[in-house]
Amino acid sequence: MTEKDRHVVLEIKDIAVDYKTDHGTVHAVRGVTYKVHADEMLAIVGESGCGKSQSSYATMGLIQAPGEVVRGEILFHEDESSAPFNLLSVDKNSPEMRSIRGGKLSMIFQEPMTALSPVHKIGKQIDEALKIHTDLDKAGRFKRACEMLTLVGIPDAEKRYHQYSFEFSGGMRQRIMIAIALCCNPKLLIADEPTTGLDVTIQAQILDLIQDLKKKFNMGVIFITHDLAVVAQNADRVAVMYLGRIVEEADKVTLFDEPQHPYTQALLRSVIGSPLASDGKLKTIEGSVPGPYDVVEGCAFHPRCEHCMHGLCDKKMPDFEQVNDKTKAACHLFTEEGKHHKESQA
Amino acid sequence: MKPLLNVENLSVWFPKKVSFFGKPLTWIKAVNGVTFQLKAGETLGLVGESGSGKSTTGYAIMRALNPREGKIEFCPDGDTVYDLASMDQKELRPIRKHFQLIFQDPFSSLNPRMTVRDLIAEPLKVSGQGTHKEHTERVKELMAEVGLNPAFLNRYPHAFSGGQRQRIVIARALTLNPKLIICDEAVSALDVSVQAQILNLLMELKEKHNLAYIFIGHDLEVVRHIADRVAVMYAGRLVEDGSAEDVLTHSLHPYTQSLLATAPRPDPHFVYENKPLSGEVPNPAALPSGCVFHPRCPVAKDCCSEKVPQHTQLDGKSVRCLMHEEDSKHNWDESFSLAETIQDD
Repeated sequence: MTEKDRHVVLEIKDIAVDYKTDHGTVHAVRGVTYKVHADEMLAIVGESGCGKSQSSYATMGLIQAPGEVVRGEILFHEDESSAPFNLLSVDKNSPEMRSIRGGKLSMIFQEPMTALSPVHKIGKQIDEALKIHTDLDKAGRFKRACEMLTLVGIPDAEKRYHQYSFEFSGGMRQRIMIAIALCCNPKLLIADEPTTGLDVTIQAQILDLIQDLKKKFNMGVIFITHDLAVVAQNADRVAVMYLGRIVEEADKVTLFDEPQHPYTQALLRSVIGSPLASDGKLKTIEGSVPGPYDVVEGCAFHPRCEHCMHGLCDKKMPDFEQVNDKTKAACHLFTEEGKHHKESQA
Repeated sequence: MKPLLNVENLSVWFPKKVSFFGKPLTWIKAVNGVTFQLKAGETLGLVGESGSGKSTTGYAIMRALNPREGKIEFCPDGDTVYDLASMDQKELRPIRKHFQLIFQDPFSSLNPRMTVRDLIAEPLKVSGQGTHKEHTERVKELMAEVGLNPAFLNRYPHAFSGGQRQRIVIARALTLNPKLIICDEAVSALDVSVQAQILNLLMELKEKHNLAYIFIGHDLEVVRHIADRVAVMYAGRLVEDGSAEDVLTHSLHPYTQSLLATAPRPDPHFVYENKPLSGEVPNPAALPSGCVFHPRCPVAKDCCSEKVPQHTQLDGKSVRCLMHEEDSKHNWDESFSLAETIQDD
């Protein structure tokens, strides 16, 4: 199936998230656009503080004051025939949003220990989601919860249903999180660093499980991570973020083999084991990510970019557009203006 | 030349259940019979899943924990040998300057109420060397060495990013010119591009000062990059030990092989052959009998649950697996020949 035939589950159009604090306004997301298809894993990668989680928090209606979604549209297509529903058109605590969140849209968080309630039995926590989003009776819900626990690889489900989260190991807790997230057959799953903090063998088990379930339920997955190795192993498409914007988006193989944006290139060179990385001394990106209150004119990456064109990159923000038939990128090396600028300099 | 560090049969046990009179009844065997050597200027990568006892081993070597048994022979100048395991804390004080520790999280390992100057000069102050002015000079020198601007001398840790804080931690570890630095997951909490910077710094410093590192980590690619030798731990035991290249490319132990087979690589063309290991690291209070890895081992035989494997020297590596032991090797040979005969029929 080509990309066009596949059903688009979620469409995010130019959203921006601001946090207004006493020290000034932090532009956490500064215009992000992407689509997620059914049975597709879109990985969003970036360093800490680049706003990779924020766009999906906006999708789930989890941005809390002082944060605010200041512009953009988030269109959710429940199935192919239904009209798209703009999640930002309703209040985040409205009944419409509450009926979707946790049911059709689900999320797994990084810390399974803090995301699970320590004072409720894990069965009850799965039951809660089913109670809100399905019309099953008590016995039906119990059956469904046990099915989900078995599905995510927790043996002896009927006994484990009555245990508390502290009686499970880290990997098992993450499985429970996945069971809660998937018990209502969501169309879209947002996984925010679901395997950070888990061991490699457990990580591999969890990633395998997410891959299986993605196919089984034909759901779109947004996978937020900073680990490029996990991306190379699991994702279908990859979006690289830097300071609140997507700088490059392509399918996985293209992104790793032919990175276009200077940031992506530099990032891949600094990852040990990637084909672009050198042996011995690693190439690193000069400088550091600007602080949240710093204002960077033009392209956010220009102070650290080796291809920076003075007079253009530090003045005007490049548009995020198709640069060849496979890749979308936001860089003046590919824009008309950039080409003109280069010629005029030469 | 004597090795810098010679660890023999090191065990660390924690009491789990204590009787009414304070006598331990049951034990958690966190580290069991760990043996390895480390030369000056060498990097040993210690890898394993969480709960495998790799940090506990590091802390026991530093005597931040008391080992239950074993020898830790430390030879900082190539001549005098100290057995760290049998010394008491008072005797240890003058030797402590030779080994330092770098922790994982640079946000919690720096006191937020101390300036960078005080943080880096603290080891000097504690060991009673030099004057205040000399300390400041040394701090400036160290800050320049780890890539920090010496003008930031009087700033507090909160003004620095994660990578810069880790540089402060490294500077503090270098203050007393140690011979051995134990890096406990020193780069795990950092972003990839920063991680590369810190790894480069650690490797530069190693060259410059002929430092030995015990690099504790779970990221095999990072360990492969920095380590000369690698020791793999599982449930408190060393299962394989050898040169980094050898262990991480031609591993002999099924556990190392499964770890390598499942570790994700930043290369979309890499083909993963094996299914991930099922199950989890066993509870150290109730370890399985025989080989501790047998419940998860993809090639385990009946004998694995009965006999404890010993260190076997093979191809320059030391490996603890019955599959490679002379007396029990035949258990695997048989199954292979059986498979062959079935094919022949």
